Amino acid sequence: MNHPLLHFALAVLVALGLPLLLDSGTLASEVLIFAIAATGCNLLLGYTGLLSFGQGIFFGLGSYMLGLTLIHTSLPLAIALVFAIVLGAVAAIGIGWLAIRRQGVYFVMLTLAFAQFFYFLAYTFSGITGGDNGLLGITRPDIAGLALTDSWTLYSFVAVLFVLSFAVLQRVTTSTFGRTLLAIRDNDARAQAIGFPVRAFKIAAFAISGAVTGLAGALHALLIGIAPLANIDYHLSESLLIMTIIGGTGNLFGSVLGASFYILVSDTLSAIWPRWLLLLGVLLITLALFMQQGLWGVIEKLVAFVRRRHATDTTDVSVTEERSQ
Amino acid sequence: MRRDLLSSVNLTVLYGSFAAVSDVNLNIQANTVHSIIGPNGAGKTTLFHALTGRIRSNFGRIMFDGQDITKFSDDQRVRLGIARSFQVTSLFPSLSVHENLRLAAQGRTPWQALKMWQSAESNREAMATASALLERLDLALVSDKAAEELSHGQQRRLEVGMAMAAKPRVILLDEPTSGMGIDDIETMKHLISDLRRDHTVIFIEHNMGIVMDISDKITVMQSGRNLVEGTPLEIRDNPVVRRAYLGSMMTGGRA
Repeated sequence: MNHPLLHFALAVLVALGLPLLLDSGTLASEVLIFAIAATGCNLLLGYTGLLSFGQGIFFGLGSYMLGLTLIHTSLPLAIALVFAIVLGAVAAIGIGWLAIRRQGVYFVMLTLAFAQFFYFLAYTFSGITGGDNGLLGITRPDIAGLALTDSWTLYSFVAVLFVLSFAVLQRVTTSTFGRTLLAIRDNDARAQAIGFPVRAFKIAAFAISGAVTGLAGALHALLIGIAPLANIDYHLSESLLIMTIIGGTGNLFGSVLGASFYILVSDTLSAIWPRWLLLLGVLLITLALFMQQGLWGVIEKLVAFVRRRHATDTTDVSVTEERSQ
Repeated sequence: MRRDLLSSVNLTVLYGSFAAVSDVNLNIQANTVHSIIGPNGAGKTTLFHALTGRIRSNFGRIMFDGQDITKFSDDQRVRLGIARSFQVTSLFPSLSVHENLRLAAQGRTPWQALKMWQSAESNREAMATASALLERLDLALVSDKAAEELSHGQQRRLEVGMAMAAKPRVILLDEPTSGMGIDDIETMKHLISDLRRDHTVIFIEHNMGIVMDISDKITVMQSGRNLVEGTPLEIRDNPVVRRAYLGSMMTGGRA
C-alpha cells in the first residue's frame, strides 16, 4: 500500500480521471492546483512536523509574480512560472530561516505573524498588487502553439505540471533527505544530537515547499485571470492545512485526495447551502477525533479489511477442499 | 602514560545564578572507561550536555585531541567524533530499529543526506554499520519493528547503539542501565566494557557494582564540582568520598 510507484500511478489516474468525472475544466484545474499546494504543505506538516501558516504567502507571491510578469513584460509563460517558483522558494527560505528559531507554539505564531504581515503588505502596496481589487487583467498566453484560453487545454497543461511536481516531491520524500526529515519530525533534538544540522534541513524543506506552493499560486492566477488579495490571505494557509489534514499527513497522495475532496465538496455544497463551512467544521472534528490518518488512512483500513476477508474466505475454501478429498 | 583525548579546564555552566557545573577539570585518557558518579543533582548530566555541545558552557575550555572545541556546536562535535546516549530514552519512535541506527550512522556525514535525488540505501557504509550493530546489540530479530514497540531493555540497548553508530572516538553514556532488569544489566556491562577497545568511554552510572567492575578511572562529583578522581580502589577507600555520600552504596563489585 505504500509503494511509491502505486502512489504515482494513483496521482496520474486522478489527473486522467477528473475530465471524465467533471464537466468544468476550470473546476478540474482548480482541484489539481490545490493538490499541488497541499502536497507542498504536507512536506512541512507531515514529513517535517512543521505546522506553517506561511503557505498562503508563497501561494500569493506566486500569483502576483505570474500576474506582474505577464502584464508588464512580454516574457513567455514558462519564464513567469519559473519566477513564481523561485520567489516562492526565496520567500520560504527567508521566513523559514527566522521562524524555525522557535519551536512549537512560538513557531506557529511566527508563521501566522508573517502571514498577516505579507497580507497587509499586499493590501498597502495597491499600486503594484491592485490591493483589495486584486491584480486584474492577466491573460493566458499561448504555449507551444496551444491556446490556453480553452479550459480543457489549460487543464492538460496544469495536469502535466501536477504530475511533474508530484514526481519531484515523491523523489524528495523517499530520498535520504526525506528520510532525515522523518527523523526530525519524530525527534528533532535527537536528530541534532546524532549530528544533523536540523535547521539547515528544515530550511531546505521550507524552500521546496515554497517553490511548489509558488507554482500552485501562479497557476491559480493563470486560471482565474486575476491575482486576488485572497490568495495571500492567511485563510488560504488555513484551507491548505485543512486539505492536508483531511487527506492524511505524511502521505503525498493523501494530499491529492484531501484537496480533491475539499474543492469538490465546497463546490457542490456552496451551490446548495451558503453555510456549508459548518459541515466542514463537523467533518474536521470527526477527523481529529476518530480518523487521524485522514482519508488515506480510511482507504488503508478498507483495503486491509477486504484483504483479511479475502484471506479467511480462501482458507475456508481450502479447508473444505481438504475435507472433500 | 596514555595521552588525554578529552579534557575540560575550569568548565562552568550556570543556570541563572545557580552553578550546575562549577570549575570542573576532567582529563579523559584514550581507550579507557571513565565513570562519573555522584548523588542526584551533582551536575553529571549537565556536564555531559556541556561536553557534547547541547548547551554552551559559561566559563572554561573543552579540549579534544589537542583542539579547542569550546565554541563548537553539537552536530560539529559529532563529526569530530563525540557521540552520546541519553538518560531518558530518546529515539525516533515511529521509525524502524534499523532506520534509527542508519540515521545515527548517517549523522557523521550529514550534508550528504541533503541530496534529494539519492536513496538512503546508497550510503553503503551507514547501511553496513546499522546491520553490524543490529547483531552486536542483539536486535536483529526486531530490526523492522518501530522503535516505540520495543521492550524497555531493547530500547536502552538501541539508545546506546545510536551513540555507537556514529563510530565516535569518545562515547558518552548517560545511565545506560537505568530501569533495566538484572539480566539486561549484565549484557550491558559487557557491552560497555568491550567498547574501550575501539572507543573512549565516559560513563554516568548509579549502579556501583558496574562502576567498580569496569572503570579505569572514576570521577566523583558533588554540587557541581569534581570532588575526587582515582582508580576504583582509590575511590572505594577514599575517606572523603565515603564521608561525602557513598558509604553503604559501596558494597557491590569486585574491584
